[in-house]
Formats: sequence, structure tokens, C-alpha cells
Amino acid sequence: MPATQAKDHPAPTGAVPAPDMAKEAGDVPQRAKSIVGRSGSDFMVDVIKSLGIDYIAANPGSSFRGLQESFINYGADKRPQWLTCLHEETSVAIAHGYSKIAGKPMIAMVHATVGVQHASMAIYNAYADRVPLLILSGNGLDANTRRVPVEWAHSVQDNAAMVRDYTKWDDTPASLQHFAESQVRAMRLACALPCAPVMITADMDLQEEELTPDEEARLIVPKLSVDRPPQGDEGSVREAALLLAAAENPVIVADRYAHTPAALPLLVELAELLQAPVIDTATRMNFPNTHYLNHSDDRGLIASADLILALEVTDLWGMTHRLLDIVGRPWQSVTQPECKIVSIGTGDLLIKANYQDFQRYAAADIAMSADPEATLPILIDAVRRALPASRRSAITARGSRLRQAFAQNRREMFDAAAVGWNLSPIHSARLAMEVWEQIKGQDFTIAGTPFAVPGVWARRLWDLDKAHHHTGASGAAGVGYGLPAAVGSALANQGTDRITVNFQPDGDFLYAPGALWTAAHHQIPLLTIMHNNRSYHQERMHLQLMANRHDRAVDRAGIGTDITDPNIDFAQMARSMGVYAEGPINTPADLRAAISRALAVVRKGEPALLDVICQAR
Amino acid sequence: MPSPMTGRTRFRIATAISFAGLCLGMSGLPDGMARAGAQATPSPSVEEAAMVAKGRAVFISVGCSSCHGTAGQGGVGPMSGPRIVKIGLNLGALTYFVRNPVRLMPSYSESQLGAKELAAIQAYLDSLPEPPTAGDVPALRAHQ
Repeated sequence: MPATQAKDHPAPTGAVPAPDMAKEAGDVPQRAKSIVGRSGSDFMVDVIKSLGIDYIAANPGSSFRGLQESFINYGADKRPQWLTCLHEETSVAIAHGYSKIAGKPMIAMVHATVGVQHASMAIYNAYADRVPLLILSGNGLDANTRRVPVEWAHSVQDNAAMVRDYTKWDDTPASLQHFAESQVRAMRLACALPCAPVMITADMDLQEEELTPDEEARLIVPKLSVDRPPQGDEGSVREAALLLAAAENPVIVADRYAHTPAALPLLVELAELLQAPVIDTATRMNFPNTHYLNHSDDRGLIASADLILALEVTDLWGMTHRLLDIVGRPWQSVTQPECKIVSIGTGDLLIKANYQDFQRYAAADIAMSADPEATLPILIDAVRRALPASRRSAITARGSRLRQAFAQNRREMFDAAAVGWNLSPIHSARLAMEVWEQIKGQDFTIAGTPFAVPGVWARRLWDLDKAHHHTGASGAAGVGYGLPAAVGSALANQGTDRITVNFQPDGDFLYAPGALWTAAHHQIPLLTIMHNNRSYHQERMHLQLMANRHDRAVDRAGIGTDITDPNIDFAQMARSMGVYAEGPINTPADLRAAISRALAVVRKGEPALLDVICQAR
Repeated sequence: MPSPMTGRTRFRIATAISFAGLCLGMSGLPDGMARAGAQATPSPSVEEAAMVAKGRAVFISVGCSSCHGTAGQGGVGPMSGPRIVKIGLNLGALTYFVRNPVRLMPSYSESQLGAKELAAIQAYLDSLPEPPTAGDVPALRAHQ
């Protein structure tokens, strides 16, 4: 207590009398107590350790200093291990990419207010992608104990308010027992389908106040119970099976379908039973691209379908309509009038009003609020029972036609890949195949953003038939996801022999390049191949479109979009963070040797980056 | 009964037929080029080289390469365009499509892309070598 306060306001009875600071200038003020044996944050660590969390990603913040010290000392920095990040967006995106491979959440720890603000876009991506993620934050709720001035600027009455539109649940516990129950509930809710981020705010005083043995003896860490996924009801499944069995041109569309490795063989079984083509939107790794029933590029099948089975399709309207980005934005249905739609998905179980990621309304003839992966076993049984022998030859003939079409499409795709083979700037198909030549026969994951053009080619040309072969979409297409998410996926791949490959757009990279340092610091092996087209190219094309529309100078579309003059040296940037890097590589003939050198580094357990100057598309 | 052709194949055939129809129906070089040819000029190869260089520069500056690639090879992903190199495209068809595009292709007015510029682009596309097929590329041939 300051001396002036003590002079004007006598100390309450029982309190330690304040020293006269003017008289004893230079002396350290007497503290009530210097050492606290255990604090609330130690118990919080006990709770979190009970949940099987392997990692916490965090950029440090004083609002969770109690928790951080408890994790790294009391918790011995083990399960969970602390990962140092250079931006909260990185922390959350690492957790997002991690969950795609690990199939479970990790924690992203964020500082109150400004940390949550930094993290918000990445949280939105994770919400829109419906992945399990735990966000833990500190906050100083009690005005009486806040340090001036920064803790005032970094404290808030409702820490989760700014992200509540895109989190599933949040709480600010008022006691340690409350924390225990809320943290366990948070884990359960994050993992219950449909998955989504959840947030707990651990008050600073709750973290730092002493925890006496008596108090600790009264605390209970509740057992975690995990919700089983909702399955389609028997009647709807039977009805859907009858429609599928009778359909002449059924099409299966798989969007956010797969969430465990069991999903792929189940969908293969159903597709083969019906000899039905599958359109895999690549939001998840849903269906092998080597299977003759994979017709993901042939959206014309939607137009000729008499039945569409939509498995966790987020944008059913977009799947069944075409909206042209021309003046007036005209749209039309692309399905046959008599086409029936069976939808199985959990979208309606978690939907909020403000952010419009729920997409445009589309009707279905049978709409099951259920997990399609959990429903498929009973649907397969029902289809098997519903298929009469009289349909066998028609279904077999359908399969033959699809096999021929698949082979033809594959030839066309490989011919299309060849057209730009020797170009400089380097064609993305060439880049993708040069990498494939050196990793084929090994296990791998294509991680990071799904929009990188070499990654699009890789998903077409490589052999993808395992659940971890690619990590799908980013959710809300918030740019900056790619690099940290790839680091997170590579983190989850540690301990396996998988090579994690990140085809990295240059614009996306620049939002959170510090994720490379995190990969180097924690020795996370990741092969990052830049798709460097020196532009926010998608936005450049939008500007060209606007210039065309206004009959104005199209050649000015690079203003505000091109990343040139000067050209950024990504290899130098990576090396500055301790990452092996080469580039810029302009000539396709130089790729093979460079990829080989980079892979040697990755196989030793470290990240590597190649800066490749690429065609725009 | 669905056609064995993929949707992509149907689109390409329809586009090629459209281009072929326009190629048969359209005349050759615009008047500006004919007039230039009637004047005393440097050797054709130098003039052609300049035309090709100009065509490449315009092809990039007005954004054709953004969607179709620097060599007209086509692209993948959102807002990408199909292959336009060595598909039988002539100047008449090119001009028609640029002024009257289909699907997501934006239109270019005379002020944005005039006849001379279009002729230069055509010269550039014509100058490009026949691209390889998958059979010509060992990595693609082996994996197909």
C-alpha cells in the first residue's frame, strides 16, 4: 500500500502497516507474502492434463502468465507441450491444422482483448470449417487488482463477446471448481458434432491466488464424456435407400463428410453398391481420386442426376444452382425438375445468424439432421436390402460407363497438365509432379490452404486414397491460414513417416510468416513450396473484372494487388528464421535438384522452403 | 442414359465447334493489317517478331494471362480460363469471343483491346510451339 494512502487512510485492523516510503526511499516495500506454494493455475493445469491435450500454441501474454508458468514448470511442459508462436492468428491456425490430422483438439492460448482480436479471423476459419479447437484466455475482471495502465487497456467485461458469433460456447469461470467443470464441458462441446471452437477465459486472480491444501482437497475434476454422433433415423434412412436403389442417375456429393479414417471405405462401399459417381468437393479427404467412381470434376453429372445424395454439404444451393458473376448476378437451377435430393448433415444443429457461412437456403426432399459418417453403415445395409435383383444389370452398366468416363477424364487431365510443362514462370502442374516424382511411394499429407494452384493439381494428379492425404478446406477462406495450418498438420504428423507438403501462395504466406520460425524452433518437419505469382492474384482478377465492366484501363489492375517492386525474397525471409531455403527458382529444370535437397532437410526432421516463381493460375 | 462423355469433354467439344464455326465464317486479317502489309516495311521476320513481342506484352498487360496463363495453356482453380493455345483459334474467332464472351469471360471493348492489339495477340498465340501431351512427358506418361 503506498505511503500517501497509508497517511490519509489508516490501514484496516490486522493489515500489515505501510512503510513510510519517503523516509525509507530505496527500500523494497514489505509484501504480505513472497512465495505462494500452489496457485489456482496449477489446478487448472491438472484439469487440462486430464483431457489428453498434447499441445498449447501461444504468443505470450501477461493475462495468462499464471497458467503459462504452471504449464511449463508444474506441468513440466509435457502433455501439453508449449509451442511458442509469434502471432495469435498463428496459434489458432496451428491448432486448426493440427485437428485436421490428429482428429482431436489442442489449445490455442490468447491474451485478453488484443490477443483475442489478433486471433479472431483464425477462430472464424475454424468455426466455419467446423473443427474442434479449445481457446483459453486470461483476463483481469477485478478492477481492484489490475495493474495500471496496460492491464486496464487489456481487460474486458466480456472477453468472448467479440468472437461469440463464431464460437460454439464460452464461459468465464468464477471459481476453480467452476473452471474444472467448464473446461471439461468445453472439451466435450468442441468435439461433439458439429465440432467448433470453444473459449474459456481464466481470470488472472483465479490463476494467481494461492491454492491451499484444504481448498484443493475439495476440488473435483469431472470425468470427460464424449457425445456419440447423431445417426439418421430408421424411417428416413429406409426412405432414402429406396430412392437410391431406384435412381437411374444417382450422384453422391461429399463435402464436409469425412471426420475419421473410417469414412473413406464406407463411402467407397456405398458408391460401389450403387455404382454411383461421387463428387468430392475436397473440403475433406472424402473419396480416393484413383477410384473410377470419383468424378469430382464433372459437375455436369448434377445436371443429369435424378437423385443427389448430399453428405454434409454446406452449400447445397451452390451445388444445385449456377450464379454468374456478371452484371445482375443472374442465377438458375442446374438440376432436373424431377431430381430428388437426400441430405444428411449436421449443419442445422449449429447455425448462427450474424455470419453468413451457412450459405444460401436449399430444400431437400429428405433432410436428416445427422452425421453422414455415422449414418452410412445403416444406409448401406438399407440400400443392400432395397436393391432388387432386377436392377443389377442396369447398375452394372452404369458402372461400366463411369469407368470409361473416368479413364477418359484422367487422360484429359494429364494432357492438360502437359500443356504448360516447360514454361517459365513455372506451371503449377509441373511443380506438383516434380514433387510427386520424389515422394511417390511414401506416405504424405498435402496441408495448408486448399487454394494454392499446385495443390489443386496435386489433388488431381497424385494418388490420394488415405484420410490424411490432404487436409481439406480452411473454413471461411480467411487468408493467412495456409502456413500456420500446415505447421499444425505437420505437428500432428510427427512420429509418423509422412512427409507434410505445403503448397504456399505468396500472399497467404505474408500474413503470418512467423509460423516458419515456430516450425524451426520446435523442429517440425514441413516442406513448403511457394506458389509465388507475385500477386494477390484472385483479387487482381476481381479488379480486372471491374475494369472490364466499366470499360476502363484493365492494365491498372495490379495497383493494390501485385506484390512486386520490390520482389520479396521468401528464401531469405525463411533463412532469417532458421529454415533451410532456396530460391527464387524460375526454371523448371532446376526444380528436381532443389526439391531433392529440401526433402533431405525435411527427412532429418526440419522445415524447408523453396521459393518457386509460378504461373498465376 | 447418361452420355459416356464427361462434362469437361462436352464443354471442350462445344467450344471447339464454336471456334471452328467462327473460323469458317469469319474473314482473315482486319483492314489495318492489310494496309500495313501494302507499305514498304522491314523484312517480314523482323516485323513478325515485333508483332509477337507486342502481342505477348498486350496478352499479359490486359489480363489474358491471368486466367489463361502466359502461354494460353489454361488454368485451374477459381476464375481460371480454358486453354486457348493451338486449338484452331483464328483472329476472327478471337475477336468475336473477346467482344461477345460466354460464361465468366469478361468482355473487352474496342478501347480496351483494339483490332491491332488483337492481331498482335493472335500473332503471339500463333508463334507458340505445339505444346506437349502427357505421352511426351515421362513423369506424366508413367503415372497416368
